[in-house]
Amino acid sequence: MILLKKMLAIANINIKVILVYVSAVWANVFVNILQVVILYYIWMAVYGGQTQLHGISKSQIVTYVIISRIIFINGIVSWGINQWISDIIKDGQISIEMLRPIDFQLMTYARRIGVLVFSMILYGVPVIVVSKILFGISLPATFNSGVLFIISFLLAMTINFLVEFFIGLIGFYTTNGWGLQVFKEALLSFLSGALIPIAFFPGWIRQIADFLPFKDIVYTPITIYLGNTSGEQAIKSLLFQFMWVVVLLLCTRIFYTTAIKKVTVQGG
Amino acid sequence: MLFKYIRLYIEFFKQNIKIMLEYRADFIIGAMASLFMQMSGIFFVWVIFKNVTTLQGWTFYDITLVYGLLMLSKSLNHIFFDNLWVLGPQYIRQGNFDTLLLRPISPLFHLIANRLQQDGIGNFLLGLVITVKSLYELNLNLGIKGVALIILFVVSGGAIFAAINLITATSSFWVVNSYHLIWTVYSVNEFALYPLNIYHKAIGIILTWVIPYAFASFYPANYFIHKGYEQLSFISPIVALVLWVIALRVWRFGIKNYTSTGS
Repeated sequence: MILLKKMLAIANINIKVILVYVSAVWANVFVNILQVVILYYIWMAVYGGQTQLHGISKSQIVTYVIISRIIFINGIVSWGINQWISDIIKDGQISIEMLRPIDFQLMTYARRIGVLVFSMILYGVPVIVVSKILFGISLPATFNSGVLFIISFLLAMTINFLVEFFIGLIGFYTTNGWGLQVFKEALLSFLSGALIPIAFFPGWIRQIADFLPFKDIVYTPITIYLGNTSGEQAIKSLLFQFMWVVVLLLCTRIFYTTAIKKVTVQGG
Repeated sequence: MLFKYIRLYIEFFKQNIKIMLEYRADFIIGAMASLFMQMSGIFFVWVIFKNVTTLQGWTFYDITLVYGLLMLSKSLNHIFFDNLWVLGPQYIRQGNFDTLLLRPISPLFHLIANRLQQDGIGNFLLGLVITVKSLYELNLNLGIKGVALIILFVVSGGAIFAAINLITATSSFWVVNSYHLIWTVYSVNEFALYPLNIYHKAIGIILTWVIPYAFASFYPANYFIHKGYEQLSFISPIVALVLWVIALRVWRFGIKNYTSTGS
């Protein structure tokens, strides 16, 4: 009898712990759907009687809002890899990670993919399902757009990873990882097109956004999905994304080698 | 009694300022980061208005007034009542709440006075700039009465935010982690950044009568820019009072149910 009581007590504690995780997921899904709802109504007010603005139709903008939110949750806003790198730099764990018989960046990339898959299932899928019921979400414009979108999305997540990796390495020079995360979030939510499609930006800001790689994280994949970028142009977009992957890879490599030397100096 | 608490709060305040000055770099980065975050929000509105002239009859500065008022109320809550967020993890779960109970002052007062959150200061200043700029651009001649009313509205708004957080934070007495409940209810305030009439009616009703964040931005703004909702603007202080009465009852009920952690 006493044993049973003890077992029940332990079970109860574990249920409470699991409930914390469950409530975390619910809260996250709720807040993200709330954002979709707010943006939906703002865009409806912006369009008013018009059916098309800057080549994006009223129904396309709804799809844009939903997909950009999904990429936003899983890419930009998620604590991602930069926070983790900042943390392991701070507590010295990085020296152990560097000793592993696998390239540090490659290992981090694998880790990021794991986080992505996890958050996609836990947060992404519920948001898609609820948004679809509330507002409807259109399918890719054509079969080809769908296929190209998947490739573009994977490249986008790779670019996002490289940006995160770069920001994480700044942790070698400052200990405020939280501040870096917030800066990243504010900057990227804008320049990636996660809040507003780049096409809506006024003149000079649009030129800046077009030049930087951040638009390739959200804006480029979605315009491919919607069919606004298609055919030869879509292929060109993919090539540009690929070029950014290469450029950012080189940048992070150089930064990494430089930053590592600083560690050795400190350790010596 | 009241004077004793005011004196005490000033003492806590001084200590908190000392802590802040001790970690100056963190203070600056924290303030800058949340400032930057808020600026991207206002930038969003700015870009929208590069494409349209009005949003359901609201001009750019009409909307920034709503936005600025909400920022001010929100940052008051952020600066002065931030400790409510950590009642569960830092006080109840670690047993620190017992310390508060042992002191000869109200444990709720103690909890609140224990922390001054520097991260809210940047937002307060930005909210102030946005509000003043909007009022100026809208050519509103406020006079002393208008300024006094704005202060009353902002303080009421801050009180509304704090009371709602107090109600949800009290759940810490029963659940392991109250953070998600506080966050979920708190996040509803984002609706109140924009005029209520752009949303579905049901959302307006929720923001007015259920989780009344609209009294921290939309209704007070209507007092200055008449859009047909001004009859409700004066209720803000009353809403704040009623919410605090409810919140204090909930808090008392929670504290009655409190049993310390064994550790």
